[in-house]
Amino acid sequence: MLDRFKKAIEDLGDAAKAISHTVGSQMSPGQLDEAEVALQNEWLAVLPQSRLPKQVEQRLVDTGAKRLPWISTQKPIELTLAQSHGLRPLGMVNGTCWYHYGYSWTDGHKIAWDTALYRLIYEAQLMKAHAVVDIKFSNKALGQGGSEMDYMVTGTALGLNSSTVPTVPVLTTVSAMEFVRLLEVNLVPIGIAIGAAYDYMYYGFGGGMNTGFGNQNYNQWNTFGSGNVFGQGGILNQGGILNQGGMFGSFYNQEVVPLSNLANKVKNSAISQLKMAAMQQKGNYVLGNDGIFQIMPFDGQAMGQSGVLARQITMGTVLQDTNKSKNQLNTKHNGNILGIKAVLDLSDTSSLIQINV
Amino acid sequence: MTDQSGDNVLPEGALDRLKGTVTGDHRGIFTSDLSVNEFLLVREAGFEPVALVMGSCIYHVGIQYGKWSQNQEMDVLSQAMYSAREAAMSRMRQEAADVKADGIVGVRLEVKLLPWDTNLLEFIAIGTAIVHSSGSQAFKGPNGQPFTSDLSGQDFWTLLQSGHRPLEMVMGSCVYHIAHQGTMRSLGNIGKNTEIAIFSQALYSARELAMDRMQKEAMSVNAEGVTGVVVHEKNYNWDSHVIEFFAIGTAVVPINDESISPELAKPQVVLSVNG
Repeated sequence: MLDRFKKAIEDLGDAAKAISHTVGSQMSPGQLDEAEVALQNEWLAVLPQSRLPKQVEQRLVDTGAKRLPWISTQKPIELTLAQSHGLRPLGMVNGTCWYHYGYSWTDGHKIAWDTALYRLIYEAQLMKAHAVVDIKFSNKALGQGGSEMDYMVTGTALGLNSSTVPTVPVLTTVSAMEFVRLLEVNLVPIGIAIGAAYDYMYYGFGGGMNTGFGNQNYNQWNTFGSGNVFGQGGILNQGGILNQGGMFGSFYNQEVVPLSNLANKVKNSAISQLKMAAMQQKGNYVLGNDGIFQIMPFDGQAMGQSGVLARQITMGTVLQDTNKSKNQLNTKHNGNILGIKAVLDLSDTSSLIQINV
Repeated sequence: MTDQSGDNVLPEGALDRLKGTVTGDHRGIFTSDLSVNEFLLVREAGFEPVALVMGSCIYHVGIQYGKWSQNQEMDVLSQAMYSAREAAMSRMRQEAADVKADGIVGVRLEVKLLPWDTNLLEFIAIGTAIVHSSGSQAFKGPNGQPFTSDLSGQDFWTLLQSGHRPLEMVMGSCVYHIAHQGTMRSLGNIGKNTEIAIFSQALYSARELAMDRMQKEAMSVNAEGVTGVVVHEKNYNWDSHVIEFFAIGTAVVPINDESISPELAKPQVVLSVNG
């Protein structure tokens, strides 16, 4: 029996070898050949011009024209939309951008994700897509990370039967099924909005002066660029909360008002930016989520003084209500900030983005 | 391997376990890891589960070093990942063929690290073999072998409803070495917000090779497309600048055979009120 088993394993090994050989023959050798070097150079040359190497563009065009098998991140249920709504998968598209964030983590994330998204749009345009659904954001750092990582956006390009292809496809994080549901109630998901904001404050000059409860030292809470927003100690800092010398030096129960204010300010600023981005796309609603929020202390070495940093990134799908004309919008929502409403995300997944920090 | 009869390939223990599952006698109790919903939908689609089938392969991944400052595919590692996955998949498929199954649904293909040796990886494929109750052979995959798919029972049912049938799980994989930047170059980036084009290019190249391979695999089984594709970038105990770009999904083809066309349920839009 042992022999039979051994033989079976060997047979399987041979089969696997044959398969890997087929695959292997399509692979590049350990040393780069001229064609591979040329391709790498082409990548480097065309990426800044928002294009792709010729053979990659050709593959995407061929896939969009159904000369190659389509690839879809969608569940089989979405294939039924071909019969009911004439909506077919064309192929998987993605955009990637490896970004180094130096002076700003928040801006760096936003720029990198925007860049990756533009690249995804370009791939969808090559496929002659009407829409890209199921857009997912992910990022990955190499090894220990540091201040750079890869930002990848993936999605599935869809084509409508017999209709003119728009210059820029509709972009949405929702699935094709949900996309169709929205269309049926006259809401068109038209794009993705990203809002990002950060702010920080320094610890006060009274650092280390925690001498007990009821301490009345002067902590000066500053925000970047606007100085002294939270006033000079006194009211906000009874008990020397958040001194350098010890975070929570007080024995009293109390809200750490400066931190609450910082958090609120940053979150509101990010949501305002989300609205701005949606407004620029002429949207009426954003299906967003609470995104990533971080609040953390930083030490004095990098910033001159020690303090607390808060940052927020939020993303959402922009919806356009086809029942509303532009005029109605401007009058009806007069007084409402920018005429955009932020609404709760009721989807099953809690977050659109996975993040490694 | 595909044209060998199962008796010559599987160990006796496996054959004993699989024996009787299709004979209809009382010893023929089927095993499966389907949920109740999946089980009922697979039956609704006209299939019966026959056996839980699996294939396993513990593989020693060879050593390859990327040139420090060069973007390149680690072809030794790519081949290792392909061979080992294929071995696990084909063993599972063989078990399914031995119980005369038409196909396998709910396949999970997992890669595990073994803590005691960083060069060893364990590849496991496991799924539920099913057979069509009419005895029709029209659902068989390429070369008359059982089809393989990672679709759940629900997804399998809806796939048939959409007028497609599964053929084979197809993969696209590329293990890629991402060049290190020179120290001067790295220092130049300190404090700047900037794209690192050479890294972007590395990921694009890896993506392109993997997707190209996936489409080639799909074409080799005459598929129309690939559904439910999942991609990931992972590192399995390799140098920190080496990643695998991996895509997997189920290749599908429209059902042309009238005899197996399902009666189509009319699609209905429902709003789930589950949080």
